[in-house]
Amino acid sequence: MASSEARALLGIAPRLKDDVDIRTLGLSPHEGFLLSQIDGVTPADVLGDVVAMEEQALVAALTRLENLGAIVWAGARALAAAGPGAATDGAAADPALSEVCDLSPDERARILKADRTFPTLSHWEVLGLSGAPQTVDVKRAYFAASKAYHPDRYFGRDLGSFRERLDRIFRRLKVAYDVLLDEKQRAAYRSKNPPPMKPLVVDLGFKIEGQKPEAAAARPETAEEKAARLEKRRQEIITERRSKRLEQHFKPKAADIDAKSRRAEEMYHHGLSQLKAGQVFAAAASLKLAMAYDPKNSQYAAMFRDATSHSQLERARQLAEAGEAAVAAGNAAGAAAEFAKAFELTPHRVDLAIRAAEQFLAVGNTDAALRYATQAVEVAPNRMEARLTAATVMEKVGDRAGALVHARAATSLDKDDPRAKRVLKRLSS
Amino acid sequence: MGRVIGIDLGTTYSCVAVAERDGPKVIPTRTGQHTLPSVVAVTESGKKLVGHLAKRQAITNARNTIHGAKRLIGRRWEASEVQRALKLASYEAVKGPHEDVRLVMGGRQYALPELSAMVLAELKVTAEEFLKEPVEQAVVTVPAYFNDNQRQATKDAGRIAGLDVLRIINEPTAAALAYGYGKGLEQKVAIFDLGGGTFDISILEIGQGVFEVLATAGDTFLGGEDFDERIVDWLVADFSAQHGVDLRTDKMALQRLRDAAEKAKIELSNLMEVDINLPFIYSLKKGEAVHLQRQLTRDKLNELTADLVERTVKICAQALSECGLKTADVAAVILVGGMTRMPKVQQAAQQFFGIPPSKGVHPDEVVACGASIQGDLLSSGATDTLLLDVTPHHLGIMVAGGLFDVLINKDTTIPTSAKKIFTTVKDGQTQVRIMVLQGESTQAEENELLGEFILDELRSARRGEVKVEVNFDINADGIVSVSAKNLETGRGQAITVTASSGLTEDEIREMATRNLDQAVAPVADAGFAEMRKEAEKLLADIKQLLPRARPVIDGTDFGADALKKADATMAKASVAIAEKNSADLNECIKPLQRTLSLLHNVIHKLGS
Repeated sequence: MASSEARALLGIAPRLKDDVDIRTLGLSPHEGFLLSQIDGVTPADVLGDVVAMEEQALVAALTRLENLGAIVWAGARALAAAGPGAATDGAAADPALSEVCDLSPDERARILKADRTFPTLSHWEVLGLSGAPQTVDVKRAYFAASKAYHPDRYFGRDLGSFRERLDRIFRRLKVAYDVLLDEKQRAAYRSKNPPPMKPLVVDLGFKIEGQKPEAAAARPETAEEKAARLEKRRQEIITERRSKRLEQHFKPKAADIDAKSRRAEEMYHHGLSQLKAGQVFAAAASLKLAMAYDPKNSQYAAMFRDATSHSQLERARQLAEAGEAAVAAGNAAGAAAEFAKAFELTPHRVDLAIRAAEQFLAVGNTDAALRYATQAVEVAPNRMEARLTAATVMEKVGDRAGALVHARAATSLDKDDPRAKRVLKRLSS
Repeated sequence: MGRVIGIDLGTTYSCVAVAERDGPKVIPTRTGQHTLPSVVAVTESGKKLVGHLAKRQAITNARNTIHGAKRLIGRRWEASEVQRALKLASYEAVKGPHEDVRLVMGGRQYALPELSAMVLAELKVTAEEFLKEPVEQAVVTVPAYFNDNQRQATKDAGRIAGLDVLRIINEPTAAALAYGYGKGLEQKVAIFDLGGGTFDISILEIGQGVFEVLATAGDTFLGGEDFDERIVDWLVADFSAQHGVDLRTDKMALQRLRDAAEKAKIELSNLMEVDINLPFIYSLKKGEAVHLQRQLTRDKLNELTADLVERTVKICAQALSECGLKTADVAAVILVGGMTRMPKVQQAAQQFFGIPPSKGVHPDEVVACGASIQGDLLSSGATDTLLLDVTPHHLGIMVAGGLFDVLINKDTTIPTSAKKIFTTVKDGQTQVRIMVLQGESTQAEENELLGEFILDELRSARRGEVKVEVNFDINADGIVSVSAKNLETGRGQAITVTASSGLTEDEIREMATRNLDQAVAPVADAGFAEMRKEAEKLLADIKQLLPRARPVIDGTDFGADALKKADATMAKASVAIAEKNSADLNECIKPLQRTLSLLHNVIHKLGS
């Protein structure tokens, strides 16, 4: 399904963006792992081998990371370089962006993003709900989302493959709505999938309007506004068609393959000897370079994968050790930082998130504590300790309702745990 | 691209509107009214008439005048509803080539979409003259209860009339849109729509400019004409008791009875009692004429139609329970359709919902206005308002034992999809027939068949071993696609279910061309010529009688006044004829008829 341009983009290395708090992004473990491997040097397809993702899944994950603002992938730049208006808000290199149809680049990017992200989101998240939403909130959210994604909004236009996407997006919304609208179903869903505490940072492509009916008053569009809107769309379509023509002339330059493959082999052997010597970090770096020079060599990739996971685990172990040492020395702040770093490297290690949350709570950094406690629950919703930590932290920050949800979950996961019972009793009183 | 018009294609009256900058506007017909009778006719000379002209000559040309075509559109000949309706009809009907219904006018058979197309074409021309630009696109409304075949037939009617029907929407939904558009409401509303032929109740939720249908219910055979029929029954029974004659056997008398009944019913919305006078309703063998004269009180009318009103209330309760609401949850009740002018109907609605119905929407025009708003919303890509429409009936397939297995429930917001796994019922069965049905009955055969296909090449195995997945998909336009997949091999079959209007693609195209050949100019001329003929005849008759009657009438104040008015009308009619002014001439016809009957009465009395 990937077109030639998409394939060319796979040779480009994504790099991390500064000042992004990845913990707020709601990443899946796969995406977290992928993100941890991005160093600004390794090309996308090598990353795919490293984290063992299929090409399609890899493109989707990288695109999502890019849309979330966590990384910069040349995909967006390549499209942007082809002409103005071709891509906005760091949109992805999805071949559908260059499909011939009556949608503006903005609209395409929005629909593609929703189509990609919605399947990974919970019913709450799809509708942009957080906290303790009631029926009226669910309804408002659904109405707002419908206005953005109901196919009628694009009536009479040639939508190409987007027609199917819109149908799919709307059905996803409808499923979430049907479950959350009904009080009984909502409660059942909540007990297994608690709503996020805070609204997602992700832009869902729609805004839920004010809480008062007056605020929602719709003003009919004037003729001037309508004319302006139609003209704007016309211009968008013209620009887009032009950029597509330009794109067809744009071809990546052929690489000097010989020199690269020699250098790759050199680095590979260097890496192997380092690995034998137990220098896992150095070995991983060498093998990564080998792959950067010869991305198609599966032997390099396999070896790099080994080295990376080794180094990853090793680094996390060191950090966790340093954390425990700091706890022993009474330095909770230091310990919290170490645990947090360790958890970022190994996002599946829920125990590290719990430790981080505990230590942050000990030094009074409730924001961070809440973040890690929430992540712990996200990674392992069926782990009693995660729920217990979340309950404790939420109780501290004064979110009794949230705390109660988690405390209940904790006790239901382990009926005999005295700590969980204690917390629940305290909260219920 | 031209404007999109909104058309309320009613059983008895139709209405057309267009969305203007400051809101929807009803387009007046050529004769100045806001609604057009949904009546078509072919005169003795072979001319086609539509609307007021057709309705006016219905009495003298009952056999070639068709009204209430909407009751039959998209239905199969065998349907019990069709046979019931045809029993009451004054025109001839035959079975069409595709099990559909064809009606006969002027010796030619017409398919129902073709008849509705004549009304739509008239409205299209009206709109074009008003807007002074060609109109090609429309949103047309149907009762919420219409099934896919009826909707498709209505869409085909649009095509025959040269209109691209962008969307078929439900009448109550359109009414809600007209009621709530741009008001920023956040409430649940009930649309109580009692029209000429059908009753519909819909519950909608409005919020943030989104209109979501929560539930719909209705009865396609409950409307104003049923109320009229009760009055006719009462008159016929009474007449039969007095004179031993069944007036129903005389098509012309029956048509006069129906007109009188409708008129009496309308007048009783304002008066407590009316007189029904039908002179010369019947001639006995000896050439002796019999007149019908009765007084009908509002109480009597309420008594005659009490069960009809009761039925509407029951359907309201059904709709509410379907969406799990109480009457207290409904913030506004909007009355739609001419029949809601009847005090007893208003009273019933108010009593059931516990709140007085909303004022400020015009029951005859609100649906067309809503349709024009939806047309504008769709064509302009507006982002502030959205209509979330629903499936009108359960959708599913037939399963073993002739049962109906529902995959998509009624009142599901579209677009939507559903899948379910089925299995073989016999050992060694190698194919399954997927019959796609729509309706409310648990018995498959009582529901409407939308289409069918066969999935074959299944592995021959014990029953229940081979699994087949059936997938239903309805897009935003309401088009149903069904596919079936053999889960063992992944092999599949799919169809897009095209509801059938009873016409083939070729027939529709041929009718559209034929319509195009005739529609453009002749309609207006034919209308004027017919009116002129009638007016001239009336004028001649009046002029002949006037010299004898004038001295007698002139004697009283009342009579002098009447004469003055008659003279003025005659002058106006003559001017209108000279100027070829259809609107003015149309206004003169009724007064001229009254004048003539007055003169007849006077002369009659003089003679005796």
